[in-house]
Amino acid sequence: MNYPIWDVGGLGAGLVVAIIAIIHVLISHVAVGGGAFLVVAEIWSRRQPDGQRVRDWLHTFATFFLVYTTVLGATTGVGIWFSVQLASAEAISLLIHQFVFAWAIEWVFFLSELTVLYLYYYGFKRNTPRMQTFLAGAYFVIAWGSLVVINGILTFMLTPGAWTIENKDIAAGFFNPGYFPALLIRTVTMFLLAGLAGFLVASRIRDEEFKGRIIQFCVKWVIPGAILVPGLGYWYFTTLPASTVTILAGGTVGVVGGTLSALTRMAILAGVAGTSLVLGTLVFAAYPKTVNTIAAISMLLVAQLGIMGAEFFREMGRKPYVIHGVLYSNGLWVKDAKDPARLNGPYLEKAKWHGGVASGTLAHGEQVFRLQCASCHTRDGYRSVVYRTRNWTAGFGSRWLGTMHDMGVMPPFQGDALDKAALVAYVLSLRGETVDPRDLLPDRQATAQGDDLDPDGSGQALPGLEVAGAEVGR
Amino acid sequence: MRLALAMAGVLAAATASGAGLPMPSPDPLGYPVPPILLQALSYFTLTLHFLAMNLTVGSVVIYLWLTITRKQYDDRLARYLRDLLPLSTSYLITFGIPPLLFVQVLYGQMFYSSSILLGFPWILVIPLVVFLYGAFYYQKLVKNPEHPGVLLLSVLAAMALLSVGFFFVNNITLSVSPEKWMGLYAKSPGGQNLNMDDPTLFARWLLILAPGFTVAGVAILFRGVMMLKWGLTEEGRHNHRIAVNAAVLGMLLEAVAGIWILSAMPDDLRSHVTSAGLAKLLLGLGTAMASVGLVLVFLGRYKASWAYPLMASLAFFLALAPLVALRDVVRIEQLRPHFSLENVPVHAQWCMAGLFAVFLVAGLVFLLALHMMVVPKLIAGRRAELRESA
Repeated sequence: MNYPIWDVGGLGAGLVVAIIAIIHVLISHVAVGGGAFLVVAEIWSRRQPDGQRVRDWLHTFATFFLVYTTVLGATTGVGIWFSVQLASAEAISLLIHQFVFAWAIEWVFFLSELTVLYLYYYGFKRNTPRMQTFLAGAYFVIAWGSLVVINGILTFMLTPGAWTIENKDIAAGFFNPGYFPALLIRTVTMFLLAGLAGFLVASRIRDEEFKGRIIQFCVKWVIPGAILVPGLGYWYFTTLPASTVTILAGGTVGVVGGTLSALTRMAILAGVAGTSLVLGTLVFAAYPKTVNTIAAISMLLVAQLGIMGAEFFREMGRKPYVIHGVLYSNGLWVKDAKDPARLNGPYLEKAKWHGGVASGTLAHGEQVFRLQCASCHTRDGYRSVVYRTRNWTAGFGSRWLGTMHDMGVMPPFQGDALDKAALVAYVLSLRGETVDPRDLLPDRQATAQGDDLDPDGSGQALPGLEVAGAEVGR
Repeated sequence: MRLALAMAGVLAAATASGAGLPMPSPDPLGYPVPPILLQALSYFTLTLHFLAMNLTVGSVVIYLWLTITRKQYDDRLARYLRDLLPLSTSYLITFGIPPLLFVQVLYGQMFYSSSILLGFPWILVIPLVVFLYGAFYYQKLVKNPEHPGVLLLSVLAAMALLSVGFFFVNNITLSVSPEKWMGLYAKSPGGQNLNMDDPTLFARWLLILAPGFTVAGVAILFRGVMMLKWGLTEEGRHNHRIAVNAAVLGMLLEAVAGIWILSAMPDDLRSHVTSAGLAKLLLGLGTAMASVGLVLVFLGRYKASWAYPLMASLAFFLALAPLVALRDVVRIEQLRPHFSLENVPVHAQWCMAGLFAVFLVAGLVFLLALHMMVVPKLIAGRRAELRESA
């Protein structure tokens, strides 16, 4: 309620963040793992009988690496930051105010890795072999250092540990329960991705024997990571908040309306993609000379899908929070939600961006939708509200809003009965139903129970009413 | 649709009737150090960002000009600028991160609000930067950079760069104009807005771009010195002629932008800038150091001495830094009715601030040492290449 909502039609602000983020995560991991790849390849090339030819290939790899990681990696990294400002200003504000110097330290790493990479690349033909190996090594260590820093902030969002808004304990927040498993998962994943990037550059080699040797070299980067990730993933799983585990388990056994939850689907997607990468790499290892550009790009696309699954899992695992236990996805602070007077009082009196709309109108309902729902849901696009409320009746919505928080993936509703009625009327209007919000107030509803989908009055949905947020957008 | 129009009408009416401004509350975590330190860090890094941005803007325009004129030595200077562009763009982006970080700590509630209201152009910055950065690399790596298609790409990249600057100026000016927020939000909650009615908008845009010619001029002055030192006298003199012309053009445009912005400002703000002690001091210091820089560029022409371009670089840094600080002084004045830095609590993180200082110093020392080991060899290699081609 502190900030306006970036109301992006059918796409939703959150999806804009996700699109930029999954691109960035792949590239940024290649950017770090590729550093280690450069070091080892520098040393390896000097032990080969045709070392110069290997170094020429390495120069091609370094050119690809430089352009790919700086143009797409650096800019999409900034892009995440830009998009999060638009999608969740309250959350990025909290993170920046708490971790500004951690971010500033990460920037020092970033400045250093960029500069070292330029010295490595532009000195490729002039530096001594020892200097090149040193620069590649320095690049890797610094780039990994930037991961060490940013990982603390990323994992803080899901598992803030002993950090609270009262104690503001930066060490507890940074070295939170998810920190070390996530760091190790990302580290081995980046080696794996460096090998995949190596496949792509190697696929362009015309000499089949030489290509075979380079492919075999790259295979050694993929397999260890692929073996280690599941075990580390389990370790990470043990650090997850109980609510996340519940959603995951719920999806696994299909309790959510007989379907998998989105969270579970994303976990499965990551697992399937990882398995496919292992199988693909084994095929590459068996038939290295046949690897072509399309196959190599396909492997990177599969990796992109895996990263999409893992990152969506991490994001969805936080539901209904953006910072677990501290700040809800729609910008409501948990500390404020604990105050019944604040939570249940008239909403428009507290909201800042409603523009003075009249109470009890559809415009009122739209403002409530925008300020409380639109940070996660669109009207009829990604995470569609129209779809999710397709079975709602005029009488059902208000009671459901009152209990939605109990389902575990939605924040509590902020506002009084009129706010709920206005929102329900607005939601119904999206599918063409005209209802006066004042007719939905509890006293008027007492006489109209017949069409209710919630006969026991518990607020629990009948089958077909998915838990909002548990479905990927339709 | 009718509902949306009705909403827009209601919100616009609310704004027109002077309903309370929707100013977000400051972050409950407060400032991690006293704001003066964040301001200092912001000024320092924003000055570096502006220098890298100016180098990129000036270099791409001069590169395109040289590619069209094609006089003797123009091609080699054009190649120098072309090779410089991906590097300067890298540092433009990299040095842009910390000032954006610090401005979000200091003025987050205003900055986020304006960013959301300009959501569409603001997020468009990212694909534009990807495009221009990629284009600069492409024109460096492609075998025939003078192909008309590649030149067209460079023109488009230059336009993308100018657009990015325009969107930034839009955001910064809107962030200090909360009285416009509800009106824009009503007009387009999806953020398809621009702050076009700000009287200083175009003047501020010119103000940040104009020094591009001057900064690129200094970069060319460096090359000219290198040519003179390597005995390529004619080429060195050619470079220095262009350097001086570019530096003068940049300063003239900057003076025009300065006068324009002062005349376009509201009276009370202009009076503050021209009469308040600190603002007047910063404006005077910036103007004086810029003049010193220009004189050093003049004095350095045709001389095979690193001292002049080095001192000119320092002078322009010292000219830009006070102007960056002045920009903040103006912002504070504009926001005074709504917000004051002094009212935000400080929850000090001295340990983290110290750690950052250690990393920053260590990082800079490390990079300096590496440069001393690597760069002389790169320059020697370039010298050999140039001699061969000459």
